[in-house]
Amino acid sequence: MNAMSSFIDVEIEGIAFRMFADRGLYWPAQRVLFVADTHLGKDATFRRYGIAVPAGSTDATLHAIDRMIDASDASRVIILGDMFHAKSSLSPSICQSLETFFARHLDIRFTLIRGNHDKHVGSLPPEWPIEILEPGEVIERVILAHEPGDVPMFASLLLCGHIHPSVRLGSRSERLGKVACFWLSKRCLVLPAIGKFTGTHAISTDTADQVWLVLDNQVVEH
Amino acid sequence: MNSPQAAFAQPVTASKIVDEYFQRIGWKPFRFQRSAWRAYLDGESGLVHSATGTGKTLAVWMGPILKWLKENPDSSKWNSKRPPSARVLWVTPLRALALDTENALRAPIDALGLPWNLDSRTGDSKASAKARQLKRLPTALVTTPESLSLIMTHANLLPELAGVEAVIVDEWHELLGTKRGIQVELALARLRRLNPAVRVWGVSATLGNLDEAMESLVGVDANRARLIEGYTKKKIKLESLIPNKMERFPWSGHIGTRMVSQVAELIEQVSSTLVFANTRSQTEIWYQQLLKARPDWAGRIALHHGSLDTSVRKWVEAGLRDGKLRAVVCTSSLDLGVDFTAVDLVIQIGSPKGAARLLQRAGRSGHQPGAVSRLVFVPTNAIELIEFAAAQDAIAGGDLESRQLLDKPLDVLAQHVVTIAIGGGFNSEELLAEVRSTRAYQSLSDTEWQWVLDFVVRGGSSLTAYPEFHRVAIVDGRYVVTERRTTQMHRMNIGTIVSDATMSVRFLKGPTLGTAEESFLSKLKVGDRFLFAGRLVSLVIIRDNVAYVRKVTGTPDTVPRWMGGRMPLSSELSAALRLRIEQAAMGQLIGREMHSLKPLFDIQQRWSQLPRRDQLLIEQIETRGSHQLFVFPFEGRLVHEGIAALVAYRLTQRQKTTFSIGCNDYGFVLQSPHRIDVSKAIEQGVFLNETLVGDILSSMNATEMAKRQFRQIARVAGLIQGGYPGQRKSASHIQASSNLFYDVFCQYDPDNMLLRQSRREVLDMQLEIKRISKALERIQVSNVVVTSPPKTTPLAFPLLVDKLRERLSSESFADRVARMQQQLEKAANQSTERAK
Repeated sequence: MNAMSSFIDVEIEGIAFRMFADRGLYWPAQRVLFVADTHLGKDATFRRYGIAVPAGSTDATLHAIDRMIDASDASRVIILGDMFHAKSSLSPSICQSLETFFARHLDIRFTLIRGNHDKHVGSLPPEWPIEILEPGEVIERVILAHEPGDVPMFASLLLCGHIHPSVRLGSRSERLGKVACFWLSKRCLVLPAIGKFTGTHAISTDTADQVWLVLDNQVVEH
Repeated sequence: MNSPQAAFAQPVTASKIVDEYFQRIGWKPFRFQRSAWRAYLDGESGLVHSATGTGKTLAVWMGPILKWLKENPDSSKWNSKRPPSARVLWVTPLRALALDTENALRAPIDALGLPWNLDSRTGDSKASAKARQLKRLPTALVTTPESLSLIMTHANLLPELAGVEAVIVDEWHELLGTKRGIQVELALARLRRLNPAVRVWGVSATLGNLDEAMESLVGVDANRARLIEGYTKKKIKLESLIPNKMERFPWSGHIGTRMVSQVAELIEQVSSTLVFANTRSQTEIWYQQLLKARPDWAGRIALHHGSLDTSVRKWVEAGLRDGKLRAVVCTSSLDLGVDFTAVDLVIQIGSPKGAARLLQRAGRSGHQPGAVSRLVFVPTNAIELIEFAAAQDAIAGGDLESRQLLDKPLDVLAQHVVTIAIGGGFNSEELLAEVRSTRAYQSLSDTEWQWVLDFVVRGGSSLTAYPEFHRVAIVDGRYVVTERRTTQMHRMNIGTIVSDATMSVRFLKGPTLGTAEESFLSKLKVGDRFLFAGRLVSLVIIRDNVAYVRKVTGTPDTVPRWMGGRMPLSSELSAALRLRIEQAAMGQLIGREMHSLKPLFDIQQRWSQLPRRDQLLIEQIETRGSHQLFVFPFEGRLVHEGIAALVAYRLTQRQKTTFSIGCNDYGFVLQSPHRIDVSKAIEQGVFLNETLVGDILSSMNATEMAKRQFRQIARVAGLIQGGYPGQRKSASHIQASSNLFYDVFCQYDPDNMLLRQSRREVLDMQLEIKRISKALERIQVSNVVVTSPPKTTPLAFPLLVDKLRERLSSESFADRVARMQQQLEKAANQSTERAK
């Protein structure tokens, strides 16, 4: 029995979304779950280069997606880029983990929006139930990409990743460090990186931006 | 005086040449130098120590030269085209000093006409020189600990290394207690294995634990090693500059530049002065202030610190020697090269926080060996005068600081194991025995050794199977490295540990000004103004690990943090300080410093108390609804940070409240909205030693501290790829921050020994846990005196105004975030209101 994945409901550009503390964005009306920057197998890549990283992060990332699928009515999961970290990430054990994951969700349609790391990884095993699309894919008035960019006139919102956004919290007397977040800026909603072995990048925001902090067990508006 | 002839089996030629040399340079060898040479010729290792630099280099350098002269007495056979094979390794801690050292060592070689090849190898060395050395090591090589490790990665050099007769380690007190020092220990063990007759000679300042310093050099199995005391100036004149107006409320944060005119007058009275400040930023400020006070000194005073570009440093050194410069403002004795000339006067700004350090700096003055060393102390707050008086007591009593030594750090061992695997390979039992012969790893357990081997071979403990992991392989029972990429990455990494995140600072279209810590520069925004190398510059852009700046006018934006430098009061100095305060408590004021503080002592006694050594003073004050508890153990800032967090934690366990904590070298303050019943708290064991470790870790942001400690561990163990500026970004996909590694280890490998090491280092190094434990024991047997002063006392005042506070409470992370957001809201609303 998986732990409950907590969330908040938000409305962006007139569309109702659910933001999960497990770092995913669910679009109820479309029954699509979005995640970004899974960087699966990054631990294996490091090990290939002689850097002793323990295994576990890839499975933990997949479990987070499991929880969100269970907690929602998703019939489709879209990864907004950087699914695998590098070619060496496709080690036998990592591929095994992913195949077991797919087997748990036979009725889910998986899509990958190609990101910069995906370009280097190249093609995935053809038997895997996942389609790869180029950035620019559109669902109603939402455009999907890996990197943030200008939103074309016909679209209301761009969903993406790539940045691994976080906010640095603290004052002179107290520092809380970086906290991962969802970041809405100029009609681009950047998702936090869901990969368990990923770092974050502290963003600087404009006054018009909106930020939702991802704390351990909850999402709060900043 | 022993005659030189007695030292040599073959008389006449060798000693005659040497005597002629000494006559030429007008130098009569000291007794300690002759002792060192004799010991060397007898095959012994040793440690030469003294507070000043006088003659130490020659004491250790002439030994190998004399031996060679003995073995090659016929100078007609000397052929500089066929220099002798590698004979001496000279290890220096600072890259920047290597060239200086080389020049100093070259002098007798040239003067004696020896056919020796002398070269240096550091991270700064030219690629062509490095390549040449890899083919054939010079007769004598000046190098750094990491370059020495790098040399050991070349298996083809092993035969030459086996021929090395002597390793000389300079400034050993600086390397002792650091990971680079451990690197040296391991390298020495290897060299001893290659050549059991190798002699190791260290040069050091005088320390409290010289025997341990020696053992670290020669290993635990050594039976012959000599401790030789070098030249010690008997006459040292230490005096303080007492401010004209003595404030009764001394605060920290007060730069003390009110004293600039008095300092300028002192400098005027002599020909050459060194002005020591505790941090780089303070040197910049004092340099500016002195120029302002004496504009005609432009071009006649200069800055000198380790971050400056070599050409600037050379110019300063030459200028002081030639008499063109009359004063140099600098940070540390170490940054001053071997050849740095002695000056007339040393001025010390702010407490040096240690007696040994004070002594060393004083030793920089006084030209002739018999001359008096003169040091004038400039306090930056009134209480520092007591510190200075205490320091003089410690020096008089011979209570010099001991260097705290590291205990078997596994990250350094992991790095060394890979180095040896690359440089020829090893057999596990043999290398373990070799490693255990060092002082640092004598207690290395079999489990720990196995963990290190598993770390480099498997990428984890022996229970895990990571078939894709490639670093060290086992081939026919030998541990070796087979992948070229591993070798390249390892070599690149070794060099980057020292540079430890520094960046070059350069004009946009102009010369390099020097280097600065990345942690400082990365916090700056474009356009921020700061002082560097004596100029006011503003940041233009940071690219490829270089910070580009341009010259500006105005005032700096970043205010340098003044906490008396980052070093806390040493325990020796703390003890001497407490004695002085006790004397003041009993009305005994000895010396100018203490007398000048009489008004301060009077107020402290009247409103509160001056504690005796068997007392612990606690002051309780309420101001505007907030309750302050001032506690004065006088144990140094780090210990106070630990005790404050401990006490706050234990108090919050019993009473729901929030504390704001402030610490300095004399005590700490706990501020809370609720009144604390101190006697009840003591009864309930707030100062108990039991459960100290557990409570301290729970109380402090132990995770934050461990992560900070882990940063270095991750680098040393090879988890983080250093990379050089301008390097191809192909290594970017294996870059991760140390925080990320820390989190991943915590989550998926919590028994990881590197994690354990970071926590242990937090306790030992960041918290000085042993000192805290001793302090608590002392408090247990002390009489606790609680006073309720009518106003903030002189002792309490510095803590009150120190704005750098830590906050401790039983809030959850989410609550803290919520509170922080509220504050920002409030601030935002206020500014909106103002804007209306």
